[in-house]
Amino acid sequence: MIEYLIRRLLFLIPVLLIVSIVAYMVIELPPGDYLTTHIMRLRAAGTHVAEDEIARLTRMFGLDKPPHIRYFLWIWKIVRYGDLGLSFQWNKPVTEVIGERLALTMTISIITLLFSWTIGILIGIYSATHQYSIFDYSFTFLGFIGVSIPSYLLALVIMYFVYSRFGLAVTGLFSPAYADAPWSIHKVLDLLSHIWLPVVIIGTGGTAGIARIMRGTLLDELRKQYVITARAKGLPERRLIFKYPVRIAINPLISSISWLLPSIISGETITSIVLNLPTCGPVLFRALMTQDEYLAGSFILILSSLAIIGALIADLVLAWIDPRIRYEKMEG
Amino acid sequence: MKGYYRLIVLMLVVLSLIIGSTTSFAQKPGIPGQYNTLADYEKATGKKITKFNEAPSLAELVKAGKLPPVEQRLPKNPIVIEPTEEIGKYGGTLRLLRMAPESFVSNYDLFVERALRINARDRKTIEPNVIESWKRNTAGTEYTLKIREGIRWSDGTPVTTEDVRFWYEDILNNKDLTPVFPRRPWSHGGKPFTCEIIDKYTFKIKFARPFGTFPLWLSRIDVGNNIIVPSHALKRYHIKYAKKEDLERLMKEYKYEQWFQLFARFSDNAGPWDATKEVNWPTLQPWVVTERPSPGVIILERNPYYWKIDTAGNQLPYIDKLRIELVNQVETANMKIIAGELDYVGQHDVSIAYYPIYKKHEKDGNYRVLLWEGTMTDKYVLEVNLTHPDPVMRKIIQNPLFRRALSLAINREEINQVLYFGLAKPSAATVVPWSVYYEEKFAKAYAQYDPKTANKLLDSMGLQKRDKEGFRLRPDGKRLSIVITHAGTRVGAATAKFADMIVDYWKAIGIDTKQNQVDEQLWWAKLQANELDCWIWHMDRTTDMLFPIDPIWFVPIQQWHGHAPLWERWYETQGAQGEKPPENIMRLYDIYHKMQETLSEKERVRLGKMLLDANARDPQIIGVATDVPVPLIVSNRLRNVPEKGVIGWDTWGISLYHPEHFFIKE
Amino acid sequence: MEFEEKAINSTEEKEEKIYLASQWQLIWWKFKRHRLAMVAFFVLIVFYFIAICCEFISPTDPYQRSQFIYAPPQKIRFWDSKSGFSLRPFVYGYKIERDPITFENIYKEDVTAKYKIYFFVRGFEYKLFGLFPTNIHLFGVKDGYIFLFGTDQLGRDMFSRIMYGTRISLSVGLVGVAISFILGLILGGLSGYMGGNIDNIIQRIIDVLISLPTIPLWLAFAAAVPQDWSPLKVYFITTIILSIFGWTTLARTIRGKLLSMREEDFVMAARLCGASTSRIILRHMLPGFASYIIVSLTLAIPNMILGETALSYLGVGLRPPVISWGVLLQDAQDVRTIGLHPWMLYPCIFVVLAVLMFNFLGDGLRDAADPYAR
Repeated sequence: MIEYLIRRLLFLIPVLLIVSIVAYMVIELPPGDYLTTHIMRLRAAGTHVAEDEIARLTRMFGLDKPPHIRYFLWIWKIVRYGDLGLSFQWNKPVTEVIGERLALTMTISIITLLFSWTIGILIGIYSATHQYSIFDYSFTFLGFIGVSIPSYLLALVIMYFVYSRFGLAVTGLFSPAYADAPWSIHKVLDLLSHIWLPVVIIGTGGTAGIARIMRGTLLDELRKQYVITARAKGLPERRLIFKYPVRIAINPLISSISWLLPSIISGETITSIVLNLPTCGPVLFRALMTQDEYLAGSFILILSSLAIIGALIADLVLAWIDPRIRYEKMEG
Repeated sequence: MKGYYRLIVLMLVVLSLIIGSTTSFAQKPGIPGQYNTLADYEKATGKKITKFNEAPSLAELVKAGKLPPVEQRLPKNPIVIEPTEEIGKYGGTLRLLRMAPESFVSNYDLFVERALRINARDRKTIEPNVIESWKRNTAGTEYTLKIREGIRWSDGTPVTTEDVRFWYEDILNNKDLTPVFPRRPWSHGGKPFTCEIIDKYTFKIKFARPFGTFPLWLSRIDVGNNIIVPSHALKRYHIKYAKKEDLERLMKEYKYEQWFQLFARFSDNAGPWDATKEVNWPTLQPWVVTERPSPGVIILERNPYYWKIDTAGNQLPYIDKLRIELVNQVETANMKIIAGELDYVGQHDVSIAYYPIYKKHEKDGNYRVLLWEGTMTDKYVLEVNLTHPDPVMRKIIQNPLFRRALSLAINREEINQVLYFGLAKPSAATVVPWSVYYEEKFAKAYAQYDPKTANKLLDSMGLQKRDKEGFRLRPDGKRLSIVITHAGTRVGAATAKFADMIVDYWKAIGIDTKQNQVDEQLWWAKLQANELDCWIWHMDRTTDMLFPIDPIWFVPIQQWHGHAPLWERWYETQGAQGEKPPENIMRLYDIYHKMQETLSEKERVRLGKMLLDANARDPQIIGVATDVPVPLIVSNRLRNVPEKGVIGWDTWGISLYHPEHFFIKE
Repeated sequence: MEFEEKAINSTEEKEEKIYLASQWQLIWWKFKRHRLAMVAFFVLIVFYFIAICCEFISPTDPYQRSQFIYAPPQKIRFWDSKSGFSLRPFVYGYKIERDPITFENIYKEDVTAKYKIYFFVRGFEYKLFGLFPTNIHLFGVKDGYIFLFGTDQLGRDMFSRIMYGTRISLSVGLVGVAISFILGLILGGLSGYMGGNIDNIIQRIIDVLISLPTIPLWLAFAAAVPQDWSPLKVYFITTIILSIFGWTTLARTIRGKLLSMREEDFVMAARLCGASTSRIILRHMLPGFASYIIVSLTLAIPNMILGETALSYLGVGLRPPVISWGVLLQDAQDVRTIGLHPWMLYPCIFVVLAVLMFNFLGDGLRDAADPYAR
């Protein structure tokens, strides 16, 4: 087990390195750089930027060095000082820009994850045990509709619907009274009363997916000999289902945590733009659009690292609860 | 008795005429005005302001001894604002939005105190502001400017000529901070200007040539707000004044490698509204950034040293706080508007395209939609590249017949119906109808819808051959095609739709037209590289406020969104790069320079009309409409906002109408 | 097929039939019993028919502007108060008024203008299948106009636009999936069959790709595409972008299947019989997981369709004048549309329908291919 752990940890280093290169490339790929955005903005504001002024700005933003040098400098600072660089756009250290948003992003992601899982698994179990019943069909149907409506439209339509019904604009995460207030119990309660909408919008797609997987694997499991034997022996149905088949059917879901997180962040980006949530998504989007390279790069790096570490944890958990996998992993 | 009666009637008539004329002259109803000094106010109205009042929150601070009394905070001569509707009440928070952290466009119109300003009533006269008075010598080469005496930065430090000297000597003439001396307007006449400090409040600016439009330049923000900088705060970051170890510590703290990067963080700004500005950074604006409670939210509070009062002696601004929230996209902004979550939204963030939905929910959101005249957004203009990279195309485009044909092919009334609900006036590209430079013939030149004549013009140019699909062929046998490249919603909400229509009109006269929507950044990069056929922008700079100094549409002087990138570059780099334009364009440069130099207003109008006339004969750009309506969203609780007005880049948004005297009436 | 079913009368015959049937026949029989999937199958055939001949089905040129700005859908009627019931359906023309407050056009039915709907009428010129020039359309009106799904801001027919959008949107899915499929098959196959270091490397690449949030990657790739490329090129690059991230799941599925099947009894049996490796893979293993591949392909298509709309939403995917569902929804994503012109959301119904149908189809295929349920 320890050997397996060490091996996985060692593998983490090249993977993270590749991710950092990809993250950096992603920003360097499009033509132009932040300077273009900046000069455009200065010109639009009426400032006459002469040709030589551009040279000064290039030096000021440190963009006079070639990209690979900038990459190494960036990585070196991260490794050496934990310094992610400076956001051109916000004129602040990247850690600050991300830091003030990461907590809310993680809150939304985790609540969404829990929401998707709880509802998804429950629906999955119900659908599997009541295959081809009315509820099975309607859950299937609703689930697919949830998957198929583009999230931004869903968000916009729900927003307009809530507005025209109740006269509320459901933008943001807080009511005006708490928006600028320091954290308190009331503010947390206020947050909880607003967070359901983004959670539902982001989570709908995932929930349907989880319900489908759960239903499928559980159905397979229920047909197996040991279930039939147990049933024949007179084990109560509830215990029969929850004791083994459900536990086994959850396994593939656990291994899916790792890729669920990035997909939630992606879904969160669009939904947050529409709902105007102060989370990472919209900032990342803007950073990419304006080629604010260190901000965007660091964002991608952090999110991807979280996902990779998440994958590792998921694998470890899996190995821990399922001896068969442990064996297989150690062998292969 | 009868004679008496007649006399009384006569006297009454005369009196009413006098009163009528004076009131209509001095007090255009519903538009705010200003008096430069207390004495001016007294002279004009016969009333005297003896006592100054302040906001209750400030009065408390004065009582607690944390702030000097209002009399000591105000300058010797505070500006007196005559309100739009009434004397306001102190208090309240104004809820605003901004669209992007790096963007300046959302709120700049609320924070634009500068050297001089423009009168809101005639939208033409230059008025004193931070600069209390100015004089020029008879040759017109020297301007003596006097800072309003006793005016203070928002931290209480007095504003003096030291703030001007610092700007001139330590910023403009510092090679690290300004490697190249700015051209327009500071190198007017071909040489950098010089600045001479006379006393604590007076300084002199000298140019190589007469400079008649200089005061108008000072009313522009990139010029007028830069000449006076908070030197006491900036010196902390300047290598000449700061201690080396302090500077190094600060550089480390803010993670910069060079001192000028650190300095630029505080000095480089796209205006005092800049969202990246430090909290409590000294300013002359009515409100100061005081807090950033959560990501994307900025709180501004009143400047206790603000230097304007109302006619009752109340120190402005009325409104206590501004809360500016970052909104990611237009639709969210629109949701917030119709739900009544914002008090004022103007300019860049609203568009006539959304007018129906704003209007539908006017009652629900408890706001009013004002229809103002726009001089910017939604006012589309087409530019064909006069210095096209392809020599064949360039020859075609440079032929006036071609551009006339392009203009004639456009059905402006249809555009008016589709994009402006029929509220605008179809017009060629020229100044606004109320400008002193306006003539009807400029607006009518090639602005009628006449595809037949357009076809004839193209035929007569030797473009009569067509291919199988009916498109015209160029002399070299290739298909005549134009790609309209534009930056979508950055230009205006309906740019893509506008482009769609133009594509159809031009296809109808046999030109293979396509549109291509790209990101603003890329559009700009391509424009700089001179790779575009044709593009769209919104037509600002068409009023008496901006046309005289920045007629970029009619003379290729600025490589920003002009219509001849190579000529513009040639002009901007003084012949070092780009291409020398032909004689007819050189003549326009000459006219433009004379416009800047002349000291006679009459002469300037004559010259300006020459520019416009040249454009009417040989349209350099193709406009579609004037009098374009733009909506402003104003909450019903926000008062003193004029019902009608002009807004856009030219007016610096709402700033023309004294936002410091808006107030909240619950 | 009917003949077969009739022929199988007794249980023995049926069983015999089952024993003799090929795997594909078994799947088909099972699939046929899945009603929802059958419905989905036929709906999708209709969709692709639309995609192939959208010009024929559209009554109006989708690029043709008209004076009817944001006109609501016309209702198809059979009953007229004057002439009573008629078998030939018709639509009424519009009467335009201007709303004095919102300045918008208000459309009322003009009962005096009655436009009868005919089949196979002549309209705008086009080339059927890109080959045969014609001007015959499935249906339309002879004079006047027909806007079954209303019009957009430039007065263009939404129905025709949606029909045209079908072509691009549905083919984005197919092309994208084809590319993912090739990548997934090769890399997944290599990974599963070769094992060892190659397997490890490929798995780590997949780890990296899966761990990256897709939105920024889409954005970056889309931004890297030269924006002055022709719409067609942008279209292809969009599909490639979508598929670069689509292949990973497929590769994992294939690898997993290969790994588990290696241990199956029938493979062991084949090996003991002395079959060569290639024969084992192609003859014995491939049929075993071909059905899985088809299922995951079917389920990947809707993701591609949704991906296209999301890219368009972010303004980095397809752009006008290309008409796709995503491009059409770009026009629909504003409050003005949702509040005042809900018919602009009709493309969304098509997106939902297409995604739903692909999912049902995939579901049916999965059930049919499920070895346990056989």
